Amino acid sequence: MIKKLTEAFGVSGYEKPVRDIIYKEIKDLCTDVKVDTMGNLCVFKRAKNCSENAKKILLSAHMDEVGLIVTDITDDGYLKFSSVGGIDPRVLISQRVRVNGISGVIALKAVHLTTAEEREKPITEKQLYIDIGAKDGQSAKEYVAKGDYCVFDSEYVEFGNQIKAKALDDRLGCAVMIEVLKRDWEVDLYCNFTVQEEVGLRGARVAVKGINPDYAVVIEGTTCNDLSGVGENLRVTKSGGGPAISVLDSASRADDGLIKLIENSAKNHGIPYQFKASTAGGNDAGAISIADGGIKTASVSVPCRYIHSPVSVMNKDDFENCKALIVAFLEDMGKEY
Amino acid sequence: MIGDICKVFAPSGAEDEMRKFIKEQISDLFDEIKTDSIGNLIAKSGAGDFCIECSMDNCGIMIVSSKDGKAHFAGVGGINAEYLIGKKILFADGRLGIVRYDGKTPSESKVSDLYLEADTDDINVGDFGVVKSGYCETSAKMFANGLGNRIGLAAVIEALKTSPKPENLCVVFSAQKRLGARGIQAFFGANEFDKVVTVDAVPCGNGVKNGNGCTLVVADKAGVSDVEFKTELCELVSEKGIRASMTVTDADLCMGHIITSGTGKACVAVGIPVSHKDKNFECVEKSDFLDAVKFLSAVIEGI
Repeated sequence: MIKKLTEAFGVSGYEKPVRDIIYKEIKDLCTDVKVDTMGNLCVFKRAKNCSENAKKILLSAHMDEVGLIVTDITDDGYLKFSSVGGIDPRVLISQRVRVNGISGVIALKAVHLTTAEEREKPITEKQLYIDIGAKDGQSAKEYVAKGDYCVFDSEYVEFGNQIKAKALDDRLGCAVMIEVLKRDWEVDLYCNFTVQEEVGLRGARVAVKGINPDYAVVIEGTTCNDLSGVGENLRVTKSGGGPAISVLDSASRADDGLIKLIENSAKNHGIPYQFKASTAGGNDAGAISIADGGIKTASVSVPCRYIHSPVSVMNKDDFENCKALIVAFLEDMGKEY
Repeated sequence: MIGDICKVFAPSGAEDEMRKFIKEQISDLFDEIKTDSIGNLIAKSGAGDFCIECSMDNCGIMIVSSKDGKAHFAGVGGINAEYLIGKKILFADGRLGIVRYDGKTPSESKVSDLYLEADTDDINVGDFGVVKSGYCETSAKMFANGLGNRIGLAAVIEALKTSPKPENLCVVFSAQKRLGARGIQAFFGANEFDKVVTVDAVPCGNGVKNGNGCTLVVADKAGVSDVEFKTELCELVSEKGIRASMTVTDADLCMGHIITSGTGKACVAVGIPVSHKDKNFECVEKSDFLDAVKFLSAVIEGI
């Protein structure tokens, strides 16, 4: 499922291909499913005993990924672009992309053509362009228009105990929710597959309205800087250290009571976990936690090295343990009413 | 009381002790007091159509790694690395650490360059800490680290205690203001009011000075006060002989979040001038604080 989801096209604002895959997987597994005006896929699965006392739990993962959008087509037939979501321009050089089903490469003026001053400065997005093999601008416009989205062209690959793919953030969260929906629960379960997280948590802000869950858990991919030369205090998470529970990030403060419940589920079921050791970054929890007068929210994330690049890498055990932790948490919530 | 407030442990997102402190101060004055999901403390009497907002949190730190006597941390809210060096950091249960920096040029340091010298066996990732306030005073002035984040709260509590029991008032002591006014966004997004007064510190500069009384904020970084409501409050100030100036400030007093929340709200911010804001030992003139208390008492009596 991760392979299928990560290889699908789903830049923020055009998540339809991802949504279609997920819809096909879950449509027969739930009580109700709808796609809202923004494109969020909102799923409800009633508690199997239909108890009025069943806890109401919201899980949320975003379908969109970072990518590029075409801003201009030059007379020479090259595509100028802007990033959609946060991408370090340095990772873009020489990458393959797909736009409207055709291939392109991101290119840069050769080093011997640059000035000494240019070589001293970091690469900016404006210096880069996409070459789609068009002979001139007219020819390029037959295939591409301004405003078209481009996605990294990156295959799913397994190596060692790791998975390399684009868009692990947050197709891994979508994959966990699909698996969770295959089971019956003693809780009223809401699963929001959201849009436009990477451009300002826009989908989650709309999708959460009116649910008023007892608890919301965001399932995410998060930064993992466990690389050589990086100090202990800057690593954020450790690959292989288990799913990371956030306490505070730049978008939300997790509810302490909910953190404790998740931590207890991990301990009781023998699932390894870690705390995210940074306050940087943010996710849909920011929008959810302040919706409808405030919702008790927390995030559980899988560490992803090289996140927001075509080659993000996650540990298979971390993914399995993230899934196990969400399952354990839902089981424990079902016992509580 | 301000000295006591400054001692309460309440970094943004970990305001339990402050909620307890406030409840002890005001529990007899309201029909209902509750805490919402995000941590706002809401006190209400009668229909509660009129709202006063002040924040209860302070800036702080959160531990991100702890090993071999060194605990690295990230800022919680707007923390200035330069002014942290050498400070005593307190944790909720009284544990402490001293902020250290190994480089030679502290003015260029980042929070990630600093660490706590502490008993790291007892300190865990995710623990919150605050700078010790060090509250002290002269006959005319009050000084403390983080005083600006406490002075609005102190003024509201003092005004409530010295006014008749309110009959139609909602006071929200908001959580997580230093993290992007999250408590304010959650609360005002789901609750409607006829009028809102928000109370906070205003940094000195741009025409704001210590010793000239409290100030009515015409516009802050993200919001403009409601003209009719502001005029009404100006008349009240004049009638009661309270020292108050008008201010336009670059600071963000969160009026924007309140005004644009829900179906929109009429809001005016009341400021208390604070000098040396976000630096060592912020300073408030006692007379300015007392003018703010008088003003808020007049507002509460007039509801």
